[in-house]
Amino acid sequence: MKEKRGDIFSGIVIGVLAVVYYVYSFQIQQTTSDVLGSRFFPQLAAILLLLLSAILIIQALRKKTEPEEENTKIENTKKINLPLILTTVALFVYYILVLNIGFTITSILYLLFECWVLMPDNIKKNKKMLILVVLICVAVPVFLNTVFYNIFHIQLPVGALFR
Amino acid sequence: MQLLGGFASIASLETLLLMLVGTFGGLIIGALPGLSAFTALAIMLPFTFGMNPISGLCFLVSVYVGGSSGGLISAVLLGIPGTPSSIATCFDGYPMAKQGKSKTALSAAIIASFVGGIFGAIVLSFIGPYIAQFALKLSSYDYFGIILFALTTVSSLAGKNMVKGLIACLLGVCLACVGTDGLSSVYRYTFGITKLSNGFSLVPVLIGLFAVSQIMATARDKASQKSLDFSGTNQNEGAKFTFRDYFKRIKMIIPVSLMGLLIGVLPGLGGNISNLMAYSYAKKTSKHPETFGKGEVDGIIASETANNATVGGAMIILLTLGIPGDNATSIILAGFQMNDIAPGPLLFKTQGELVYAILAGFVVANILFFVMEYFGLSIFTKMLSIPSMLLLPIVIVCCFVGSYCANNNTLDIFIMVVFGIIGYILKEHEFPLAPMVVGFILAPMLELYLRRSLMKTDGQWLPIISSPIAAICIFATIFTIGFSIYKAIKKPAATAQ
Repeated sequence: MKEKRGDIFSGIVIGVLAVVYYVYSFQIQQTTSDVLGSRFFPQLAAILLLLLSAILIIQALRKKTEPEEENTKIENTKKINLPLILTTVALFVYYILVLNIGFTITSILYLLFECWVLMPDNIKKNKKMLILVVLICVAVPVFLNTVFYNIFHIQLPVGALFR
Repeated sequence: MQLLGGFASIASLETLLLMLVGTFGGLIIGALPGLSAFTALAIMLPFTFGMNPISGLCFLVSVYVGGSSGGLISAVLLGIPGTPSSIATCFDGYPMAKQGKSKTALSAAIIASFVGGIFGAIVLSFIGPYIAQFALKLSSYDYFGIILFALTTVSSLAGKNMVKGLIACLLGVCLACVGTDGLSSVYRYTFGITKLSNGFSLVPVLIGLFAVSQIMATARDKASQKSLDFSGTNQNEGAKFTFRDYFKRIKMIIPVSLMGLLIGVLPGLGGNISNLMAYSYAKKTSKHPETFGKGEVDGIIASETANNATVGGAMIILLTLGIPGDNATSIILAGFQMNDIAPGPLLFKTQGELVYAILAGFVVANILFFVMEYFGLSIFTKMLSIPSMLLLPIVIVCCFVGSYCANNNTLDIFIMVVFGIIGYILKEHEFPLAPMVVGFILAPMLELYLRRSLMKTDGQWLPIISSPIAAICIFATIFTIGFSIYKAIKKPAATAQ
């Protein structure tokens, strides 16, 4: 049932996106250098996408409904997946900090944080392993920056603050 | 002869060392459960920015070969396939390890991988130029048909539900339209952002969709992760399997290798399917099928020979037609693009030295992985105790570097993160990601060939079908899509009754 609801929901979202994509295709300057022009292909893709989203919804609606739906719904809404939320937020924070304080420092902070989030609890209690993880978290960004700067002559982002 | 020239091109200390590192890195990452050849390629891709095209591409090919064969170690010792292409290896490899024959199982798998890989490499070297010559004679109609058919096969085979596969593919097509129209130089969907005038770069889209979404999925599953259990398996038990033992099974090996190769040539199939098909073929034709699944060495041989032959098949189609079959070959394509080289039939003519160097690199990478794995097995088995979830944050850092270096553009990092979230949401709703990437890569070519074809025919559609190759591909596409949609609508109704 969860799958059925998910399919109907994704069908609707994709259908709406297809309509928006089609509408915005009229902003593309129409060219006459060839028969189809620059609008045809995006418009065709949007129409096909709309058709397929409709088929997905029809397909989902014809699926057999199972009775235990309500219980699973309650269970699902109760659980908030903290590691997932932290990982997603960390990705955006990593991006923003890279722009401001540069690649090396941000990457060390990101690695320490993300390793902590993903680390199984038994490793968190293992001091030797923890020291090793911290060393790796510091060494990897420093190594990458050194290799890229000195060998490949590519400057990784230094950050607005250090420019 | 030209292949010998290829060996000469890579016979420099720098290239050979890079290939050694690439194969070793690929093997380790491929061996870790949950990490695939693609993850290995995503980590290694940024390092190719500073290399010359021959070294860089041979390095990526080594990572691909190492990553594809590394999966067998965890498949045998832990019963967890390191990569999806080693699923069938688990069926008999793990029971053998539990019976105290892990050394036999591992050495058989390594020999099978090696022979399968070398077979793929040799066929690629001999057949590649002929396919390229044939491809040069194809018209824009034929290309349109072939690409359309490739997109359909990828969409239909990548997931359980073809409608979702096609939707994912079309989403990729829509994303590919962003940027400057190749034929008329008009901006499409750039919304005034000049940095988008060249469209989305392949690297951030690709690694965002696959690598960033993977770390999110790992974070989600953190609660259910268990520590790896080595109990009952020891890598030093049993007699070592030899080449003589392997070639005693030549009657099974030949069809299985060909099967792997052909599956590799078809876009969208790849090692994930070839190992399972080869396994079921070996079981069906065996004189003692009842032993399969309980520790039959033939099962391991079939699976590993086929999945490595598939790598050669996938490379044939990538080098000669420029069509990537899966996410791992897409990243090799990104490696070509970073060097401003477009794989395709002309590549054999214009960049002959590079092509034969890659082919030679492919052979050498197979030899390297064999030597490393066969003689240094204990090192790789120790690596299995590294929790793969700790490697994923490092993958993300490498992805940040890769996305940035592709164009020295920080917007690409943002695009990568956004595509990671899109990839995660799509995966959560069981939309396959491979069709999206292949759609994204092939859409510009599809549009170009369609519009060129119609320029030639003054807007008439019928002459396109007059070309036999185009006609077969277009009808096959229509049939596949029509049949699957009919099945998709009909099937749930049937179950509901």
